[in-house]
Amino acid sequence: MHVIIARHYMQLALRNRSFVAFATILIGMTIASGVIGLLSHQTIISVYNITASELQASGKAIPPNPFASASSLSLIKNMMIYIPLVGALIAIIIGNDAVAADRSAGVAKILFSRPINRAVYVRGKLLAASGILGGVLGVCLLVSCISLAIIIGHTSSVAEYVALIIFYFASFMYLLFFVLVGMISAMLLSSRLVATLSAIGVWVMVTFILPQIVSGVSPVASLNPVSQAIAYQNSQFFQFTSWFSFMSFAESYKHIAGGLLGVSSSNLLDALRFAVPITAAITALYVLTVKAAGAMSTYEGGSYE
Amino acid sequence: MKAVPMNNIFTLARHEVITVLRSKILLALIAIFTLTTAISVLVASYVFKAQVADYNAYVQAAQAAGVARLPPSPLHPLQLLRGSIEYIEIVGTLIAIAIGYAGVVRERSSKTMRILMSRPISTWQIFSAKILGTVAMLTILIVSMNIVAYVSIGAVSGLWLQTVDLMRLGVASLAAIAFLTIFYCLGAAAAQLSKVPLRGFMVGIGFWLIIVMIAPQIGDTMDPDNQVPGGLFNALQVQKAQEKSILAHFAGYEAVRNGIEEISVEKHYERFVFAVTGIKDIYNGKTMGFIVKDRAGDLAWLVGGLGVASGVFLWSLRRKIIIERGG
Repeated sequence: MHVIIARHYMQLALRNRSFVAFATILIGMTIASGVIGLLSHQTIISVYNITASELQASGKAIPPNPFASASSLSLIKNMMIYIPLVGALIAIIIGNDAVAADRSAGVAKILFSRPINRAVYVRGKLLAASGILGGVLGVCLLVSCISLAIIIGHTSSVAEYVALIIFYFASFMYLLFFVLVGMISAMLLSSRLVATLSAIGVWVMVTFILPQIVSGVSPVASLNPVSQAIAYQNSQFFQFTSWFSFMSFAESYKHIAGGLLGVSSSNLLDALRFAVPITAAITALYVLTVKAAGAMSTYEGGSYE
Repeated sequence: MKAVPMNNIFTLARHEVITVLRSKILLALIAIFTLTTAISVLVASYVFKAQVADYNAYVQAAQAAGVARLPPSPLHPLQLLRGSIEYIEIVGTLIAIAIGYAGVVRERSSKTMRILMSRPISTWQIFSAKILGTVAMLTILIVSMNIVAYVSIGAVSGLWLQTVDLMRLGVASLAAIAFLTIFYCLGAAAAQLSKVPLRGFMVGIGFWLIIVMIAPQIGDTMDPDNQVPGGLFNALQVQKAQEKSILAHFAGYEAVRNGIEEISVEKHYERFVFAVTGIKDIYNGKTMGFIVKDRAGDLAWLVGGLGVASGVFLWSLRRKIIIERGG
């Protein structure tokens, strides 16, 4: 049954213009990240070369090239920002629409008048949303590989391709959280605007507010793939708030993504710091979504704007 | 020229404000925005408190060592507003789009436009009332944000804002209201022009994504100095003067990078407000006249952006009225 529900929504989603528009933006940004990465890289290497020759001419010591050992994947580092930015909005749209479409068409009431398990319904929707999300990220992965090979002209090693696949898998997990946020808000809230805005509110909380409270990262600094040093991070205030760092998914995602794309260093512990809380959050949200689906049997069809 | 009856405009504007204040959704959004700002200023105030303690310890040590002339304090409390200004850019704009969208949805469901059209009120008056009502709402929002910031900075760091700081805050607030009005107009126009208002809202979100998020982010990450934690030129031990001479070799690249940033009205708002509040260090201690003159280009972009967005909104309103009249 959940396969039928999934197939039905997948067909509907591809007709959703908002989803198509945002998915196009994400794929476009994936292409752009390769071009931006290449231009920035060429410029900073030239900056280094000019600086080195000027220092040499004045008899000063030449500092080591900070990009000498950079991974080729670091050229597409902007993806670790575009996914939490554009990808998360796509995830919210998919999750929200999966439920809202049934509410506004009055399908929910008909569906739940039949002996359908709520968990089966949620699993069907989640399966469809995962398939769509997986498809979009799959296209992004393909575009990233083509960018690395053609635009940048770099032959990446097998290890780098494996890291890229893991990066997109971690991104998929991260976005699945927002799919569930979108679904649950559409189930619980009476207007589509409130549901969309509430889900976007959770996104703002996760992407900007929590990192600022936990680590003092300013909202705009959260959008830079290269983390800048933060003053007074050892103060009592941040020592206290760092206890809640497990809730700061955006930061742990950025950390692990930076490690995989060769922008910063991360280890197995960092991977666990991301994987365990996000899996726990997805599981908890799934359980809550199944419970919230119970309310759907009481919804009337008609305007859900 | 026929005088525009201001009473009609004020009555309609009052209606706009009252409707928003009665809307639980919008009130919740405004509360979240104020809370977000409060959190941002509080976090910054705790950091500032530590900086003040460090500076005081330095002053004591210097005085004990017999140093007669101390450099002026590099700490400026208005700089703590950086986070809240960034939240105006990110969250405030979203709320402004939502207010614009919600107004159109409300009108469509209650058919207010038809009632208005049956009375001797011009499109221009309806437009003026909507803008006036929005400006009033945004003023309430920004003023409550400023009160939260004023109390947070003073209570946590112990340094209360002085009259000159409050004047600068006032100028920054005017810029914020103008900036947010642009997004209100875009949100309302997008909803007005769409058959399905929610689709219009998503178009508004798309604009927001490109103007507020993507364009400034691209410009920022293309900056050579942002490629290494702590700055590339710092890592290469390059002084400011030498940095300028090196970057002169990349004038084309810098022009493209700056051009991408400048597409976004958000960047101009940020540059102007960062100058006014002294978040951009070079403007600390400078007069308001100097700052306004120096950042006139950004101010022009802000005013121009407001003009274009208002024009689009007015056009969408006229079009809607023509359709309603069966034209």
